Amino acid sequence: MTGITFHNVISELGSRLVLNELNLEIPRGEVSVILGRSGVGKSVLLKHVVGLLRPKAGQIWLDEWEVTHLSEEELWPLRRRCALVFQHPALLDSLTVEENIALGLSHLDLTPEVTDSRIDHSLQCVNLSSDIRPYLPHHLSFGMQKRVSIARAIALEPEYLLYDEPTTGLDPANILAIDRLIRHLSEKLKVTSVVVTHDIESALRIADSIALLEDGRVTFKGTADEFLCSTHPTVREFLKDEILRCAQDEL
Amino acid sequence: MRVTAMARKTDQILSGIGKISLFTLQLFRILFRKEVQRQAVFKQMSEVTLHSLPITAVAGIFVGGIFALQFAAQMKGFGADGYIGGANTSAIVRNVGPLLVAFMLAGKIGAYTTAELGTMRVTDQIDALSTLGLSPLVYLIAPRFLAILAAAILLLIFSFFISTLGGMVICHLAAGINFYQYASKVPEILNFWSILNGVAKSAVFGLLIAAISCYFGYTASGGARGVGTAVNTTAVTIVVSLVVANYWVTSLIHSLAAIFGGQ
Repeated sequence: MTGITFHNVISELGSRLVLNELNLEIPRGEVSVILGRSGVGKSVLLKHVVGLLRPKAGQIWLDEWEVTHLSEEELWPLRRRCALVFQHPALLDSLTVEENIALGLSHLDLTPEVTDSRIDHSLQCVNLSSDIRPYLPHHLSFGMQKRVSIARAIALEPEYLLYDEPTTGLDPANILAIDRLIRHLSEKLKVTSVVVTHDIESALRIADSIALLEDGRVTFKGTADEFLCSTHPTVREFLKDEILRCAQDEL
Repeated sequence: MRVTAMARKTDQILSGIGKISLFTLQLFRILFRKEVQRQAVFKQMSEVTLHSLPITAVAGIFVGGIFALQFAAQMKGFGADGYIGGANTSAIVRNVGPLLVAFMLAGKIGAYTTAELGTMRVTDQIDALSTLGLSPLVYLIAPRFLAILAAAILLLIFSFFISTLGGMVICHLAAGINFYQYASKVPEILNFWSILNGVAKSAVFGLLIAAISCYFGYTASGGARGVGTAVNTTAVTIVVSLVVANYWVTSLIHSLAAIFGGQ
């Protein structure tokens, strides 16, 4: 079994049922997009993969690892293979860009030279100059902070990259840049990318496959073209709402 | 209905005490395993101490001054001028000093720590550490906990000296009692048990401020509103726990003094 597999996953936040016997398979090597309205549990889904949240029932597999029952210590090596980019840039305010990126490398027993070159390389991958290494996060724009957070994730050289709403809060030019970046990283670094978003335009630009989440379950899974042509009522309704929202945004 | 609400509230309080205790034990376990970087502790400690030193000094001087004035007004009438210094210093070291300065540190250090950690929690910075393979408790919380604990104890002990000095100066200026007269009876009244009382309270108050502020910051949730709630809960919990702890430590030291023949 390779890739990420959710098997009958039930998850609750407080008394609210978020994932309801969810089943989903995310194959290796693809850019998989999970679409859904705000609050349907997309971010919750990602946090389950890296063990930040635990399901009430069901199983989650990452390649041969069953994530659900791993202890915090057992999760650490797994998290180095499967990096999560948060909706907020989530950079530590008191650390410089360089220190933020080096955080995940600190326990890998790398030489200072290798750490240094990894920091430079990861910044280069996200189209940022090494000149920003001594800057604190608040000296950077929101878009740059998001890129640094992606750089921090790829510095670990993960096999999986999970993105939680990577384009939220960005202007159209930056959205395009991040979308290109996700696609580019997936092709260049051969990582499996899982992108959670409610932005349909972005999803169609980057996805090899799309899954639509509704009422805690996957109601559709297919390619971008299949998604657009689907006659499934939930997909049609989601597309209608999103087209209306985009039109309103443009107006 | 009221009984149910009271029972629920009691349950919440007890489970809260349990959770904070377990959290504190976990931090002590990390500290005993020496997993924490010394550099991080010293950095935090210097920040906390330096930021709180001026305010502790100002508060200390006036705490000493207020009580010196009270004692002077009462004791001068009985011709007990010589005992004002001793009585004031003993009161400051035993009770008033640690409590009032700890209240102030609760606002200064406690609220700040909860707000900082709470903001880190709701902006995913703490979860980000976990996903990078670092334990937030080892990397972030334990150094802060130790730094706050040590800084609070040092600041409280520093406040004893500064309060005594404040009391001495204000007694001289307002009541015309000279420094020698003020200090002459201090060694007689301020005994071993008074000092033990003050030091024990400083340690307990430091522990309460560190544990409660770190716990509520670490477990904050629900965005900016959640951080506000966490800070508020920290302030209230620390103040209430300080008053309760003040009683129990006083009571314990009195019992020990009675057993060993002190006072």
